[in-house]
Amino acid sequence: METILKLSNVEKYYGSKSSLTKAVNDVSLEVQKGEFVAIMGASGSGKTTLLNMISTIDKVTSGHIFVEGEDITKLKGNRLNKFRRDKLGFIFQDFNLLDTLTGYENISLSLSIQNINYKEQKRKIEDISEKLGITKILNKYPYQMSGGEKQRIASARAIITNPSLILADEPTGALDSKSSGQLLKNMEYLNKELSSTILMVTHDAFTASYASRVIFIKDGKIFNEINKGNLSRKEFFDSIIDVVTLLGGEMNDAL
Amino acid sequence: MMLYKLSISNIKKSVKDYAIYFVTLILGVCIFYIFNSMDSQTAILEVTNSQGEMIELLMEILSYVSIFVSLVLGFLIIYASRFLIKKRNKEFGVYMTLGMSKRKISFLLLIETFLIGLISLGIGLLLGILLSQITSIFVANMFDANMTNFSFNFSKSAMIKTIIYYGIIYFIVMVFNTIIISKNKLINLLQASKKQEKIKLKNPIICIILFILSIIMLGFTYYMVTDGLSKLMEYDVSILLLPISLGTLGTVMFFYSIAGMILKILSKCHNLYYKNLNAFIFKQISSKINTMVISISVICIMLFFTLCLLSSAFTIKNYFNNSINKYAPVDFELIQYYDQKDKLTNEDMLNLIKKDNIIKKNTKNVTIINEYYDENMLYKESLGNYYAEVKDKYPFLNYDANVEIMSQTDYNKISKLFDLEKVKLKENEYIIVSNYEKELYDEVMNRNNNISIFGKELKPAKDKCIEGFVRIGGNPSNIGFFVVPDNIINTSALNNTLLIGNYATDKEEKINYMENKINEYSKTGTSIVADTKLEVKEASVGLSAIVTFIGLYLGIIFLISSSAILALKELSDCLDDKNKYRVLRQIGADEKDINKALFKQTLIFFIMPLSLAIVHTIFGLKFCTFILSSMGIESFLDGSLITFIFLIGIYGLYFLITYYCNKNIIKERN
Repeated sequence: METILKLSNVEKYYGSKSSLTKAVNDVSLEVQKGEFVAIMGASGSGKTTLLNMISTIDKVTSGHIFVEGEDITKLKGNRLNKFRRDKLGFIFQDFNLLDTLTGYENISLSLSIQNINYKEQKRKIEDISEKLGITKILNKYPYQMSGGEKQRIASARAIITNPSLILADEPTGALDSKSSGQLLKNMEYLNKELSSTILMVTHDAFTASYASRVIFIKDGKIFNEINKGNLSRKEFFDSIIDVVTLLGGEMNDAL
Repeated sequence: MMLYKLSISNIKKSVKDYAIYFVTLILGVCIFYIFNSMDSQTAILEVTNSQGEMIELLMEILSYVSIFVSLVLGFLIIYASRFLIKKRNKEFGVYMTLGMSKRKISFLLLIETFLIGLISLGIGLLLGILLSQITSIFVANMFDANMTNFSFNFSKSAMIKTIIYYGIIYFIVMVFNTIIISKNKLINLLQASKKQEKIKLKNPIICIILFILSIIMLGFTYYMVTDGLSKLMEYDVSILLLPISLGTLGTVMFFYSIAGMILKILSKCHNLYYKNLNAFIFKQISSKINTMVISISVICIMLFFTLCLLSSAFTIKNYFNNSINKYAPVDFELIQYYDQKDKLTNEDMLNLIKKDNIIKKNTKNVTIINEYYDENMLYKESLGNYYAEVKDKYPFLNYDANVEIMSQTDYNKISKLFDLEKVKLKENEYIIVSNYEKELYDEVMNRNNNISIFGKELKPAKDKCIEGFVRIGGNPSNIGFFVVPDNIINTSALNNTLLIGNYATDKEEKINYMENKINEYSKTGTSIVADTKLEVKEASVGLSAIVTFIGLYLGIIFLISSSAILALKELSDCLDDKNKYRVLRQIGADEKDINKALFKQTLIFFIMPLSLAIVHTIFGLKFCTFILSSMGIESFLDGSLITFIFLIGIYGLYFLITYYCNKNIIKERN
């Protein structure tokens, strides 16, 4: 198995010496190619900080992050943007689509900044749209779409460049349960059929149960980790709930 | 005290965001002071009485214009502070959730506005006082006066006036701010930044039709004020409302449709549109233009006014300096008019003057010329069969006036002195000399009209008249006089006699002495009129100074206003769009490309109204040329050049500030 992402002893401190907050405290983990990993934790547990560091939006205090063997904590300026452009795909809680662009244009922007020509862009977009069932909404503007539709456009944008790693930050956070289910099935499809590697941050047990592995974070440290293995989604959900219960009161909203 | 500290720290924090606001306020105060301190700037000048009167008149006009200017600036400041409040909606929302009352927030804003006002007033006044030292040199140049000695000038009255006017403007701004705050609802304040943008979709077909229509309308307007002008002038002056309203409507329609149309065309050019961040840039600009069609049209028209005002102001100034030497080529001219009674007694008055020893000693090139009239030769008769047409076109001319007639010998005397074309007439020929509405007499001569002067039938010597004049002045004003062979003149029909000459000295005291002497003759109770080059110069210099100053004053204020409105709009949009740039970074757009996208977008947004305004101006100036043609102005080229420098300076300054502020806004702070 090829290792896509490797974190070794990553730490992130906030504040000054007198009042130090360890948002992420000595975290090491690996994600293999084709995995769908969920990171679970209560608000303030450090899971979003962790994701921000992987996505190079935030900088580590110490430790190293390797993506496909490259140490991204050493990257600066334009090489950072280039790294994000070529290696990463993003799905956000609030979709982050550009209001002024249609669905099609939102997706194509990811390709056009890679200097891919129009014909190739068109072929790729038509291909992915069919797979994700968004062909009909391609010419709509974000304000004309429902939350679920927006998130599917965002997923298409994340996957279209064939990134090494897709990062999803609470992707179902702003969706109703029906749209959530649809989106998660889409992500499952990306993972299984297109063999995308996905790293997702969530505090919702149902969302996490679609992953193949769940890592629990508490107070900036890895608390536990469970694999789906051969379990059904329902059984996996139950075992996630068990850990959540163990984690204590703060995670109760995960139910 | 708490509030005071809070507002101080607020200002410190947002100095960068306030940059546009500060620059606008400071420039406004500075210009206001400079133009109102004109009295102290001119106080150090050596001016004659008539120039003194002109300066007084200038000050009076400027004080009225200042009221208008302060209205414009007041509107601008209210507009600007509305943007600043909008930007801080969330902050106010937080204050309110913390339990601060609306009254207290208004008070907080009041302190801030007051402090900002105070600081910019201080800096603006200081800058104004410093700059007025430099502008006083320009003022001296305008009035063609010598500076007695260069000394520091400061106008207390102008400073007090500036403070009072700005005090009033600020008071109104504070009232407005309070109203805005008290009307806001907490929920709207907190969620102000979260509102999703709705894209105004316009039907591309309608856009294309409207665009073509607007081009036709503008084209027709341009035609009306240039080539079609003579046709237009056949109607009442109120017909000018037609091109004005058509031009305005065309401008609005142009901006309404252009974004949709260009976007439609570009989105068909797939390789261009789907390249790098192009789709993003195009959509940003089009949505921006679509949401502010009216403002952008107003700005375009305002820029058009500015460009016309400034170009005219500079051109008039240059023109007057050149035209005086042309239309007043001699130093003095005494004219004696005769009526039936004193014809004989005063006939030799000018000859007596000529024999005056002082005149004799201090003058050169003295020439005496007679002008005659034929009782049966009125202006309307001189037009012959062209009269009916002319009367329709120029109802304001006096058709019952006597036409002046001059002998060939006399005319050739002045032609030498004034550097005009010489004539050599055959026995039965005449020629007309004119330089105002010359084409009328051109046509008369072209039609080969025979006329009868002193009972003798004469025919035109050429197919058009000679450009020339006999009375000196600041601009062409000779509608025409006839030159005929010497022998047909009836010497008893003398209308007036002119005595023309130059001073034989360059010394200033001597010239002044002679000026007095010449003017004395016109006061002796006889019907003698005196004109001197110096008088003409002073009158037109004063007039040109007044026109130039007012044009400059209004032009600069308009330029500042339109640039500031654009800059503020662009800045506030950029704040709303901050998240878009974050998304661009997340999908991995190049930092350089992001800045380029921002630059292009800001630039196109600034250039859009300017380019149409420039096209408007090209045709507008053609119209101005027509209006000012009576003064002999033929080209606006020099004036336009200086205007362009001004434009690049102020407009460019605002563009750069906007771009750098925007760049700062979209920068990610890690």
